[in-house]
Amino acid sequence: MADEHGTDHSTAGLSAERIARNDAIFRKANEGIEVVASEAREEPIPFICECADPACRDIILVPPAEYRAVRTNPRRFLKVPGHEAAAQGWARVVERHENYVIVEKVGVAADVAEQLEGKPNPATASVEVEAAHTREAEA
Amino acid sequence: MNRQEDSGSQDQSLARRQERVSRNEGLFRAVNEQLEGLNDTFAVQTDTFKIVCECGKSDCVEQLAIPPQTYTRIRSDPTLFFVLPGHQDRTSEAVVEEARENYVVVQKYPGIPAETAAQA
Repeated sequence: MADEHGTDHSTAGLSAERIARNDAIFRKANEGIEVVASEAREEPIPFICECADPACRDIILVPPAEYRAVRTNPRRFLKVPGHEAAAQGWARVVERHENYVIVEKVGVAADVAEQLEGKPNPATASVEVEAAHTREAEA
Repeated sequence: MNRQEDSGSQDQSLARRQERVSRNEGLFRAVNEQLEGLNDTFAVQTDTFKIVCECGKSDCVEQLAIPPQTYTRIRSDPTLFFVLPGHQDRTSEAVVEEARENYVVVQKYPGIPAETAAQA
């Protein structure tokens, strides 16, 4: 039986912060891949699905320009179609393509994703989750 | 075109192909190094871990399961790559290991293939 990754079961019980942190860890790995891919490369680049399931290792081919466009928005992530379910509602699909989707984090997860942008180690970087929760409640 | 010019053109074409194949394989190796790093980050401990086929086709994203210790051993030599059976490029590399599992290990030929692989 094929592995089932990126489902809502795969991340059941995880907090919004943990979900955003997992996505940010995959984002960091993909930034490492993009560095190696030649700047002149026009063919799609193999990236790792940026869903919140820590066991997911699925690969998606994304055109370089599309990848760079997504990376300009710290709330946006690339995922295998269907793996948005692992976000437990903390992300919404903003674009659908044949072999990948682009999602945008919402609420606390969006705030955490923004705070983790550019951090050398998203797994351990500190974030102000309480402040984010407070702003949610006030909204 | 005389025979000498024709031969030179074929050599250049082969060299370009070998370089392209090696660059693609180098990119897939970089993907796999990131996949290995994720296992450390998420503290995943399994008998095998999933990597992407390191063949020279830019649109191949098939995956294979490798024992971690085998991955570490092969990775220590920059001229060795994991590919699915049948995915080896005969102009650039030779099969040096055939595992019982669903993969083979290839070694880049000396010259452009090995040099490009080492630089990637």
